[in-house]
Amino acid sequence: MSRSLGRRSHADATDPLHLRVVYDVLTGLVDDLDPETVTGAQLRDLLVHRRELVQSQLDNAMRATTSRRPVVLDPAQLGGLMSRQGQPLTPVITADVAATEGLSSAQVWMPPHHTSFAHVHHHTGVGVLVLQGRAITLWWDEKGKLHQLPQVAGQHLFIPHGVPHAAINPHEVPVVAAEFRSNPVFNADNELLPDLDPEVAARMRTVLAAA
Amino acid sequence: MESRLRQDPPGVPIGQNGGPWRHLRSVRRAAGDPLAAPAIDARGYESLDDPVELRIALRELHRVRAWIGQFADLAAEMPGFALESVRAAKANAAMVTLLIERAEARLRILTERAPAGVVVIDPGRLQVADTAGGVSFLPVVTGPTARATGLSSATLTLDAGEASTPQVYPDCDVIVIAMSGAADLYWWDDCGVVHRTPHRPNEHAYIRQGTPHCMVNTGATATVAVQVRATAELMAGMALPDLAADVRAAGSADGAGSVAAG
Repeated sequence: MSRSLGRRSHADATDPLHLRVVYDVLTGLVDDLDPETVTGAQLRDLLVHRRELVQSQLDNAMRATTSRRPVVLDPAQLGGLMSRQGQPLTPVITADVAATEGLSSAQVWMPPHHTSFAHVHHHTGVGVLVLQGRAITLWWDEKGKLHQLPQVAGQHLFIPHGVPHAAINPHEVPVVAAEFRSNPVFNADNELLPDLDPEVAARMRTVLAAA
Repeated sequence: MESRLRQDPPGVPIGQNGGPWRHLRSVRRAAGDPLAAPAIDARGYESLDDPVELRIALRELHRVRAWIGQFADLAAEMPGFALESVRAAKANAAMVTLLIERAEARLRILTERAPAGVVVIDPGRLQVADTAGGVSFLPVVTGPTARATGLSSATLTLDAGEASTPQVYPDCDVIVIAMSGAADLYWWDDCGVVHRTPHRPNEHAYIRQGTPHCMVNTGATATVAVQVRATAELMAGMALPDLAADVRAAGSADGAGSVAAG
C-alpha cells in the first residue's frame, strides 16, 4: 500500500523549486516522527520512500538540463512563440536549456495596439524591463479595482505572485521587453482570466481615445 | 552557442547527499554559516519568508495528514488490530496538524505584509548602493523597494576596463542581460578553472547558484547590465576578492592559455 501511495504522488512534478520544498518538508517530518510506535515506523517508511521518489524526480529534472555551467543566449537566434496569454515572446533562459532552479527569462515583443489576455501567476513573481517603446500594465487589486501603470524604456516593473494583470501597447511603435519569472519553467504557472478581458479591451479603447 | 562553451567538469554528484542544495548547505554549515539551516524546519516555519514555499509546504503537509488518516483506517480494518496503532496514528496526525497551523499562521503574517500590487521603479531615481573604482551597483526591484519575494533586479555599470569583484550566490540563480557596451563573463568551474564567455548587448546570461563569476568591460565605453536574482535578499552574494587575480592574469596573458574559452 505504501508504495502505491508514494508512487502516485509526484508523477507529474517537474518544477525543481516545488520538489525541493517537498523534499525538505518530508525530511523534517521523518526527523520528527517517533519510530517507536508501530504506526510511526510504518509512516516513517512511507515518508522515506516518498522522499526517495521526490529526490529521483528532482535528479531527473536536473539531469534534463544537461549542464550546470553558465550559458549566454541571444534571443535573436532563438525561436519565438505565441504565449498562452496572447503575447508574442521568445523564451531564453528556461529549465529546458539551463540548470536553472529559480529563474527564467524571455524576450517579449508587443506590436502597436496589441493587448494580452488577462491572466495571473499564482506562485510566480514577474519582473519586466522595457528595452524599447512604452507599455502599460493593467492590474487588479484584491477588491477587483483596475489600475493602470505606464512603463517606459529603462524602468523595472515588478508584479507579485497572485496579482491578475494584462499588458497593452496603445502606441504606434512596438514594445520590446525582457521578462523574468521566479520559476524555472517560463510558462508553468499561468491561469487565463477571460472574465477580465472585456475590461482590458475597454481600457485600451479609453487610452486610444484619450490619445 | 554550444561551441562557445567548454564541457562542464565533474561536479557534485546530483542525487547524493540529498542533492546539490544539500551539498551547499552542508558546506556552509561546516563553515559556520548561520544561513545553512534547512529551508524548512519541521519544528517551526517562522524563518520561512517566501509565501510560495509556504504554500507548497502546506499542500504537502495536508497530503501527509490525509495519508495518516488512511493508515489509521487500514490499521483498524486489519485482523486483530492494535488500538495502540490507531492512537499512534492520531498522535502523528496531531503533530502534522500543529505544523499546518504554524505554517498557515506564518503565511497569514506574510500575506498581510505583502504588497498591494504592481510597482514600476525608475533606476534613475534611486541611489546607487555601491560604487567603487568605476563600478556601480544599483538595486532596483528588491524587498524594500517593491516588497518583492523570490525575485530582485539591479543595474550594474562598469567603466571602460573595469571589472566587478568576483562573487558567488550560494543559493540563488542569476540572469544578467547586457544592455550596452562589450563585456566578458568570467566564471569558475568546480575545479577552480576560470572560463571566459563573451556577453554582448541583448544577450541573456544564466549563472547557476554556487558558480563564482564576475564581469569585465572589454570595450572603450561603459558597460551597463541588468542583473536579476532568484531572491529578494540583497545580501545573498559573497564577494571572492581572491579570485580577481585570476582575472588580472587572464587579462595580462590576453588569451595565452591561462583562461578557458567559455
